[in-house]
Formats: sequence, C-alpha cells, structure tokens
Amino acid sequence: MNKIAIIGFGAAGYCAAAEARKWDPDALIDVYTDAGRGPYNPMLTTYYVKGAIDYEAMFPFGSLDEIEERLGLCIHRNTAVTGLDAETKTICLPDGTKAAYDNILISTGASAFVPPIQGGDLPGVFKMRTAEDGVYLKKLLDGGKIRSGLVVGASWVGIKVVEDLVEQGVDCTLVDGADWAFSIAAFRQTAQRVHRDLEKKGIKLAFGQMLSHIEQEEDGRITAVMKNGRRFTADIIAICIGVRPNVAFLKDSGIAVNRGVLVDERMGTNLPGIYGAGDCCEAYEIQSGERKNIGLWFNARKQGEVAGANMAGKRKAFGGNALLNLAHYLDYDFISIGDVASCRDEDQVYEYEDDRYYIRAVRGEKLKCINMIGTGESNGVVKSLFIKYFENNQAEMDMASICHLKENGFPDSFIDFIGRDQH
Amino acid sequence: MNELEKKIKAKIPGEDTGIEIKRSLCAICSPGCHCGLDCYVKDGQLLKVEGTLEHPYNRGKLCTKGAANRNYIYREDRIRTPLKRVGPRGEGKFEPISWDEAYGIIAEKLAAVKEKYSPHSVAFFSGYCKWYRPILHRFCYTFGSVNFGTDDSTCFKSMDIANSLTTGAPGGPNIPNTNTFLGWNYGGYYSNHLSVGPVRALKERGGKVIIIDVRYSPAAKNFADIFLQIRPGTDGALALGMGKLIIDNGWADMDYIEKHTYGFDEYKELVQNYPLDKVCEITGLNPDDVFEATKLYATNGPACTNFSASALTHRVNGLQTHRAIICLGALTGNFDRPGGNVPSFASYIHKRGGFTTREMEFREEKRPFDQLRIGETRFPTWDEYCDEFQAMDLLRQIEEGRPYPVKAIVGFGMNAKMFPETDKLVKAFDKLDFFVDADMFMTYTAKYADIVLPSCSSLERGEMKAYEGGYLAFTKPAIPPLYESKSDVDMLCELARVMDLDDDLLKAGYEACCDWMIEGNGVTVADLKASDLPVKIQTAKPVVPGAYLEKGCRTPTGKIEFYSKAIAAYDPKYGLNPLPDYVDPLFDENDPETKEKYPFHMIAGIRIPNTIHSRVHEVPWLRSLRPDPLCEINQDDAKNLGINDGDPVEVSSPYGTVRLKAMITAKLQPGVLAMAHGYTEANANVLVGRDHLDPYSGYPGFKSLRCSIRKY
Amino acid sequence: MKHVFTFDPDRCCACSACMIACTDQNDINLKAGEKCFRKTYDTEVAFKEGGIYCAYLSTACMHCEDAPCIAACPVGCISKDADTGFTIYDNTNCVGCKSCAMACPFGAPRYNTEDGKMVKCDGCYIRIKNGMKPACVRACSFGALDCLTEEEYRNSGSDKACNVLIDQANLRKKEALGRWR
Ligand SMILES: Cc1cc2nc3c(=O)[nH]c(=O)nc-3n(C[C@H](O)[C@H](O)[C@H](O)COP(=O)(O)OP(=O)(O)OC[C@H]3O[C@@H](n4cnc5c(N)ncnc54)[C@H](O)[C@@H]3O)c2cc1C
Ligand code: SF4
Ligand code: SF4
Repeated sequence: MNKIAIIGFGAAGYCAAAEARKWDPDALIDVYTDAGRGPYNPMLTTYYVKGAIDYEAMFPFGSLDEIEERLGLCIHRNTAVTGLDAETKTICLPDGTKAAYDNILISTGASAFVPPIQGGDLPGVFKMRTAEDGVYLKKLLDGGKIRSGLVVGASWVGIKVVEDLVEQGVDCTLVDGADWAFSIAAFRQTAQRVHRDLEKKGIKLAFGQMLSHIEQEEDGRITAVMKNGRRFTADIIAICIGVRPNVAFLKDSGIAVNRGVLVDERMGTNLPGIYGAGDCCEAYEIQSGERKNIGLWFNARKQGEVAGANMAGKRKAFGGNALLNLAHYLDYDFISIGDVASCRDEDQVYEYEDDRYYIRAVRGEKLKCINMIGTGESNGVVKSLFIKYFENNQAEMDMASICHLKENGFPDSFIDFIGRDQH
Repeated sequence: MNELEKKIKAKIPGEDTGIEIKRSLCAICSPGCHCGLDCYVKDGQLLKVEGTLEHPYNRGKLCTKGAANRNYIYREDRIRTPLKRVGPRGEGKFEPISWDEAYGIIAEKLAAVKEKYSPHSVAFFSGYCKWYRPILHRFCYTFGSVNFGTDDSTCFKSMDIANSLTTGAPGGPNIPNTNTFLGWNYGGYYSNHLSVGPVRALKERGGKVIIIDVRYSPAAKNFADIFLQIRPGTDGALALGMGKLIIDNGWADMDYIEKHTYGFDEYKELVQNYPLDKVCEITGLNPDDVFEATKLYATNGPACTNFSASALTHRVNGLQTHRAIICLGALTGNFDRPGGNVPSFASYIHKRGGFTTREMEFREEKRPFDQLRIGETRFPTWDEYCDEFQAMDLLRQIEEGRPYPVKAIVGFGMNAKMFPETDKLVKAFDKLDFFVDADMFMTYTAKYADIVLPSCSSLERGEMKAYEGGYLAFTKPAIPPLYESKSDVDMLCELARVMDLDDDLLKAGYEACCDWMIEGNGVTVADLKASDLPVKIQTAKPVVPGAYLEKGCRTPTGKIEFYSKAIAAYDPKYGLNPLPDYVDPLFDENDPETKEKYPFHMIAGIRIPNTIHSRVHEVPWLRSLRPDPLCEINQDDAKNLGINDGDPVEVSSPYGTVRLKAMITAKLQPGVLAMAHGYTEANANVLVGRDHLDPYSGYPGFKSLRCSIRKY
Repeated sequence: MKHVFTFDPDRCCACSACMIACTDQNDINLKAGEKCFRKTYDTEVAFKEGGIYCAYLSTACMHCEDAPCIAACPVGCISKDADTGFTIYDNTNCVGCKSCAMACPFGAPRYNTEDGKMVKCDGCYIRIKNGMKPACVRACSFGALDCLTEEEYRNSGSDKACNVLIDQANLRKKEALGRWR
C-alpha cells in the first residue's frame, strides 16, 4: 500500500490529497497541519474583513472533519512537522516521534514576513496572511474606533488592506521602501497611473520609505519611524512587506532549497519520492527557463494536483507557468505578465492609454513584460497569448483572440506588438 | 436553488414548472417568411421564444430578429390604448381615448372627407406587417376609394413586374436540382436565413456558386467559387455582357430560344453594344472573372439565378436590370426547367402553397373604377401590373392637389421613412384633414396622426397564413393582447360595422372572410384552428417544371419576351424601351457639378443582421448588437479623408444630410458608401430625391445615389 | 452524458441570433449593463503579407476539459457538472476578484456591474439534462454552432470542437478577400 504524507494543508496540500485519492483509492494518506482548522485561502482574508464573504467562505474546501471524511484522510491536527530525513523518507513530529512514507509532499506555504524590529509586536501592528489575521483586523474595524491606518508595503497584500481601510472610511496612508508601487511588477509609468488612481481615492502615498521601527504614542496611537527619520502616525499599522516560504524545517535534510524548495515539472524535488507544491516551492518558469517562487492560488492548486497525481503513480506535469501579478482593488485591476526586471532601456516600448485602459509592453529580442490596467475581462486572453508565445513562438495568433482583443478596444498596434514575430 | 427552481430558471416546459409551449408565428419581417414560433408561456407571460421544430416552413429555425420576439412585444413603448393627438403633428402629445370614441371620430372624419371631396381623397395605406392587407384592401374599395397603397410601392413589386413583362411569372431558383447557383445580389444570411441551407447543400454535393454583390458578404466568403464585386447599379451592363458572351461562344440554347422566346434578334443586336472590355469598364470587374462566371453559368448544366426582391430594383435602372438578368435564363433554357428558375404562383399573401384561394376576388370584388389612382398616369407599367396606387407619387399629389386632392390617410403600420424626402412628406401631412394610423409603437410616423390605434403583435392574435409545400395555418393567440391592443383585422371589421359599410362579409368578421377566401380547398378556419401546426391542404399540387411553358407564358405573345410587347404598347411620351437596355444608375445625377460635390456612390438600405427596415431599431436587444447607425466606408477612402472607425460623420446629398458614425471596412470597394435604412435619427431616405425614380416601376433609387461624406 | 460544443467558422455570419437567444434564455439585463454570455465577432483581420480575412465567430465559454477557471477561483464558485461535463458556477460567494478571467484563455467570464459578481455561460446544462439543445445552438440557423454528445462528436468525424478549434488563422489565409481584388 502506498503511504503518502502531506506536510502543510493549504490549497496545495488539499489538492494533492484529493488528486492522490482520485487515482489511488487504497493509499494511506496522512496529512500534517500546524492548524486546527481546514485549509483556507489567504487571499480571502481581506474580503472577509470587508464583509464580502462569511467566515466559512474563507475555507473553500470545508472543515477538516468534512475533508477527512470525504477524502478518507488521516489528518494530524495542530501538528507542525519539525524535520525531514530524506534518505529514509521519514518525518519528525513535535513530540519527537518519526514516521516513514513512500511519498512525501512539502506544501507548507509561506508566511508573511515581519522583520524583527523594535515595536513590531505592539498592539495595532499586524500582518495579513492567515484567517486569524483577517479576524483580528475585522474586529478592530468593526469596533468603529479606528480613524487612521498606515500600510507599509505597496504590493498585492498591502493594496488589499488599503482597500479594506478605505471602504471603512479610515484615513489611509500607504508607504513603501521602493520608488513606486508594485515595484517588482510594474513599470514606473504604470505605477504613475496607479498612484494617480489611488490619490483620487484620497489615499496618501510615500515612497522610498524604509521601515526602521515602531513607537507607541501617548495618545494610544503608534508611529512607524523610517530609516530616513520620517514618522507616520496612525491608529493601526499593517506590515505587508513580503512573504517567506516555510522551509526552515528542511535545513540539513538534503533537499535542494533556494528561496523555496526546488522542484521539476512533476513537482519532484532532487530526492525521489519527495515533492513540493505551492507557495513553499520554486517551479520552472516559462520565460526564463529558471525556477521561480510564484505564489498564486492557481499555482498552489495546480501544483498540488500534479504532485498528488505523481505520488499516486500517475505521470502529470505542471507547465505554462509565467510570472504573473494580478491586483484587483477599489474598482481597478492591474495585471503584470512577464518579468519587468528583465527590461532594459534600449528595449522597444509600446504604450497606450485611454479612459479605460493603460497598457505598457516591452520587448527586446523577445516579448518581455506587459502591464495593463483596466483590462480585467481580457486579462486571460492576453496572458494565454503570452504563454503560447513562449511555448511556441512560431505559432500564429489565433483568430478568436485577435477578434476578442479588437472588439474589446485593444488597438491593432498592440496586437501587432505582442504578435510581432508570429505573423 | 433546488432542482425545481433550477428548472424554472432554465425555463423548462412541463407540468412541474407550469411553463407551456404555445404555437404562433413571427411576423417581424416580410410575409414571404413568417417562421413558426414556439412561445414559452407561464401565467400569460411570454418567457422565451424558439423556432418550431415541427413547422414545415422553418423547421425550428429563426433569424436574429425573430429570436428577439419577447423583447419586441414587451417593448416599453407599446401603445396601450387608442390615442388622440393633442399637440402639434409630430410632437408626440396624445391623450388616451376609448375604442368607441376612436371609431366614432374615424367614421365621422372619413365621412366628412368623402362628403366634401370624394371617397378617393381618402388614401388607405399599409406598411408592415402585411397580413391584414386583403381586409384593408377590401375595406378601402367598399368605402369607395380607388386609393389602396402599400409599401409594395418600394418593395418586391418591381421585380414582380419585370417578371410579368418578361416571362409572365415569378420564377424562384430551383436549387435542389441545379448545378450552378448564380447568386445575383445574394446575401441570404441577413435577409432570408432559410435560403442558406439549400445553397450549402448544393456546395456539399459539388455544385458551383457565383456571387455577384457590391459587398464581400458572408455568402461570398462562405460559398463563392467566383465572386464578382460589382460597381453598384451596373448589374444590367453585366447581364447584357454575359448575354453577348453566351451568344458569341455558342452557349445559348437555340432550340429553347426558337420555341419559347420572342424578340431574340433585337436582343442579340442590343448585346452587341456590350463587349467584354466595355462591360468591365462599366462594372469594374476583371474580364477573366466575368468570362469564367458566364461560362460556368451557361455550360455547367442546369443553372438558377437568385432574384433579389429589392436590392437590384432599388435603382432607377432597376426594372430593366432585372429583365436583363431574366433574359440570361431564357438564353440558356434555364427558365422553367428542373434546376433552373421554376415559376409558381401565390396562394395567399405572397406565399406559394400550390393551391388557390379567392384572395384576389376578395380584394377586387368591390373595386371602384371611377377615378385615376395616385400615380396612375405617371407610371403606366406599375399601374397595369399592380392593383394599388404608386405611393411615390403621393407626396406630389398631397402637395399639388392634382388631379384631385388627397385629404385623409388611413394608415396601418405606415412608415413615412420609406419615402424619399421623408421630411417633406411629414410636412405635407399638415395639408390633411385627417390621418389615422394603427401601430404597435408610437413610431416617427404615428406621431403625425390624429388618431393612433394600438395594434397587437402576431403572438397576441390569430391569423391565416399559407406556407410552401401545400400548407395553410390559422394561429391562435399565445398570450392575450397586451393592454387594450387589438388585432388589425378586428379593428377593420368593427369599423366596418360602426361605419355601416355596405359589405356583410367584412362585417361578419375576419374568420368569416378567411372562410370565404379558402372555400373550395376542403378546409375551414375551424379545421385549421384545431391544429397547432399548419395543415396540409388536399387541393395543393406540386410545381411541375416545364408545365408553365407548355401552357404558354402569361405575356402578350405567350412567350418569354426579350422584347416586351407590353412596354412597346405604351405611349412613346414615356420613353420606355421594350428591350432591357442598360442606363447609368446615376443618370439623373451625373452633371459635373453634382458629380464633383457628391463623389460617393451611396447604397442606402443594406441588410444588417439586427434590423429590418424601421421595425426593430428600437428593440433593445437588437439595438445592442449595433448601437449606432453606421455608414460603411472603404478603408482607403477613410484614410484619405482622415476618418477613423467610429468617428462621427456627416453624409450629404443634394436633398438632405444625415449624421452617423463611420464604420471602416474592406468589404466595400473604394468610392462606395453603405448604410442601413429606417433609423429616425439617421434616416437614409432624406438623402434620396423624390424624383430619383425608376420610370418603369416608380421605384426610388435607394441603392444608387450620389453623396459626400465628411468628419464633423 | 458528456457534451461538446462545436463551431464551424465557415457557416457563421455573425448574425448574432445566438446572442439574442442567450439573452432571452438567461434574462440578461442589458439595460443594467449586463453582458450576454455569448459574443459574436464580425472582424476584418489584415495579414502582414496582404489580404484581409473576414472573420465571423461566435464564442462563449468553451467548457474546457481541464478548465483553468475552476482552480483559479479562490472561493470555489466554479465546478464541473458531472453529467454534461460543462463548467457551471454558483456565484453566491463570488468576490469579483476576476481571477477566473485571468485564468480563462477566451475571456468567457463576465462581471455584472451591479453586484460585481461573475457570470458565465453554463452550457444550458439544465436544458441538456431535459433533452433540449442549448439556447444558442437552437437559434443558429446555419448549423455553425452545435452541441453534441461525446459519442455523436466522435462519430461525426468533425474536428470542430470549440475547445480545439483555436489555431486556425493559417488555414484561413487562402480565403482572404485579396483573392478577388
Ligand atoms: C492577502 C493576500 C492576497 C492574495 N491575493 C492573491 C491573488 O489575488 N491571486 C492569487 O492567485 N494569489 C493570491 N494570494 C496568494 C495565495 O493565497 C497563495 O499563493 C496560496 O494560497 C498558497 O497556497 P499554499 O497551499 O501553497 O500555502 P498556504 O495557504 O500558506 O498553506 C500552507 C499551510 O501549511 C502550514 N504549515 C507551514 N509549515 C508547516 C509545517 N511545518 N507543518 C505543518 N503545517 C505547516 C501553514 O500554516 C499553512 O496552513 C494572496 C495571498 C494573500 C495573503
Ligand atoms: S470560463 Fe474559460 S477557462 Fe473556464 S471553462 Fe469556460 S472557457 Fe474554459
Ligand atoms: S470573480 Fe468570482 S468566480 Fe471569478 S475567480 Fe473571483 S470569486 Fe471566483
């Protein structure tokens, strides 16, 4: 009998369990989770905060009991795995016991990164990742006493916290150490439009602000002090400056780890029988051909599925993985496809702007990166063209996509730009 | 949602959901169609429509417009009660009145005009939908007026007259038995959706298709083995040139010509004036393509031709163009043979069921002869072949009052926008003593009426309808009439009673009239009503190709007339030519000054999928498919004029100006503009001069006129 | 019974009867800014080497076998109907994040402006379960759109399944309008 262990029970872990069960009804599947509740979706926390969904909806696969029953799993609750012996495919448990398996999946996800700074644990300082983080902020906001908020980190998580605050009428300031918002994905020009949009909604912005520490004010408020000395005082402060894959417990296990666990197309690590999936891993990315940590819900689910199938003896591969960033906030949506960091001054630039859209795309020898604002319903079409382009740049752009883009107000020159060496 | 709720949401018919399918017909487009309709009804509310699968005519199919029936009948601006105008004409201010009051006013006003002038000073006019026409026609004659007119003054009849003059009979293409389909002006997809299937079937069994069109249409793309993108209005020259090629190359069927035609020698002489190079200069076509098309048409076995009801005849050279095309069938022996164009006659309101009704007797029985009809002396051909007035002379006669004044109009679905110089016509309405119009909606025209009567839709009434293949139907209402609306025929019969017309049949009501008309066919209205589907009529006979020629044509010579004896008989003062010679479609607009100022050739009235005349522009679902009136323009022309797609443009002719948006296309040739007609805010027909008319039929040259275009 | 939508671009003329039928079937409230699930295109595409292809298309959800939108939705709105294999949804918990739109290669998901929630073509799966064809298919007069059972599809020898009919530009060049000019 195939003995499978799944470490970490988020989207990746869940999808792996479901897929493994689909292909191997007899397998013994042990799940280890450091939590006592079902897999949740970190990106729903801010929607829960603003009341768009109930608490239960943050758990799209149901409770642990339901899942255990439905998939025939053995779930070890509140059990954080502390180590892994790859040679013997054995995992170490907090109580010191060990258990050996035929196949092991590492799907421990990532954690919001809060640097060890002075004042980082003051009341009113929080991060946004877990269901508990969501509950914490919702309570604060529902209390009705919060007048002002500071968000440190103008990226995908930070912007969603900003949205929560703005929709509650909380006076909001957004600061970031970089020179503009979404700096890892947005061109400076794109960000300028983002800044304009945010300022229109009354949000105060400050960039080039590196957080130093946080101080308590006498009136009960708290102040974030920047390395340059600037001080931002507010009732609450959110720290959204990035995530770190949860891979510390793999130290000395022999598993190849960069930022995250390095995996191949089948989600296998460097050691047979051990797999990785989701936010804790780095899979091959289509544009660079290198392995990257791309933390997306879709990736977590798909990678989990692939790992689950392979652990159940099926051959399945994960492909079409591109650098993607999608932010949907305050009536806007911004998407970045491809690697903004690879763009050079001498590259060709395409830019288009009207009241609906902002588009900026760059190509060197090949297409490099596309930024778009306001193109929500068409994002999938462009993304899929981008991926097809890298999979086979001889392929023709298909008629349906061309028609879709033309009818949705994309200029011919843009279609031409992204399909340049196609026909 | 539980299972039942899901089923209700999905509108699944059944006892559990309470949704019932009721059968009706769609009357949005011309009576040549009228597809069978499945109406999904719950508690008297229409939930959805679909084509009736079991219907012998449309076999489940509907076009874009038909699919929008629910949105059409529930338009928010349905007229709810009879209305009496309280503001100035055209302003649209009305107050509701009762049916009795409305009938009273109509009876009184019509009697007054009759008294003061004569019964002929009341013109009866019908637009769409044509289903009640026999009743209105008879009503008009019983009332004593010679002036019954319809939108046939600009639709279909010109082709019909050309047929009558040449072969004596309309001849539809017999596609199932043909080898080559000459799709002359064949669009199909947007104008007659059921015609597409047979053409596809022909292609699938290896047949050939030639498409001749000014636009690169879906039919051209999907079907054409040879596509001739012709300069607008030059089809007559092409047909004559093809005639010459057929004769010169020995492709003509000389036995057939000998046996069945008249005037071949004169025709042969005429076509000598149309050598290939000259034809190509006129038409803008490639000589090789014309040669190949002609050869294919003439030498590939049986070939049939699409006769388009209006596209070709909406030109001042239209009737003769159509004659020239019919002549090709005579040259090649394709008229009245299997796979050619096979004649058949209408059973009831344009539909050829293969049986006869007494429709014509019903209409004619009470006809008065004591006055000239409107337009009678101006268009002798029209008058001889159509039992209606030629409405293109209506404006003149209202304005001038000669030979006698027109003082009242009884309109049913009257559409002023079908008249050239529409703006002048509605102004002339001021000269009327009385104008009553029945319609479903408060249309542009109805706003000028004194009394407006609320008609109901085909889904809310019962009506008699013939169908091809020997069928006759009498529908039942799928839902009750909305508000206080009524069936047009009920209004007429009730009015006949109120006015106490001398006509017991009319007074007996619509069903009695229908029973009278179908007598002798072995069925009654009651039998028809007992069936949800059209009933097969026992007296119906299939068309046998060749039988018509055998009997002799219904022309003066009994033969197919290259040279029309009927035309030759008209007073030379009309300047009509018995031979189908070609004249320039803009011959009356070709002076150098007009040419320079209005360099574009406008086709006003192209078919687009979401419209039919003016009928459905205001149906929100259909309007959403193309929210703005558009003027199509070739991409190179647009570039030269600095016009971008969607730019606001002003299109002008010597007669008027419309403002709309530009649609840039490669499907049109340079120098050509095209727009759909019937929009109130961009009415194509204000661009058309009232005298830009075909001297034979009186048809306006809607589809060939001079215009200019500029960005504004 | 699994079903497959098929589309034949050589039969289509973008008459949009399918869109009207979809609007009728699904009570799409155009006035409130809702958009029909199906979309037709009458588009002229110029080729680099000259010639223009006049595209007539009708597209809606392709009901992808391995539908990426399902995994993309963070709240699990989208799923497969076990019977028909169609991609169906229940948008009660939809947060309007447009993740599904980013996943969909065809731009099928739509957003209602009023509640910000996603809606899309569900293949009229309830109609299919009741022995009827999808509304759009029923309205197509020209046989361009069809919906077949998997078995019918296999036997038809057609290669026109919507979800495989994608890379066709090349094939169609020969029909470009330039041929007649
Ligand atoms: C605010 C926010 C917004 C986001 N927005 C988007 C978005 O718009 N689109 C998008 O695609 N993605 C978004 N994401 C990212 C997305 O939510 C993640 O990529 C995805 O949920 C990762 O799933 P996972 O299963 O890999 O990891 P996780 O959901 O982090 O699950 C891993 C689980 O493993 C547990 N664990 C860790 N270590 C151990 C251990 N040693 N033993 C046992 N258990 C352990 C963790 O506590 C956790 O429960 C967002 C994330 C956040 C926080
Ligand atoms: S919505 Fe898009 S991704 Fe989902 S099944 Fe339909 S076409 Fe495929
Ligand atoms: S928009 Fe709605 S349906 Fe689409 S992914 Fe987001 S939550 Fe799911």
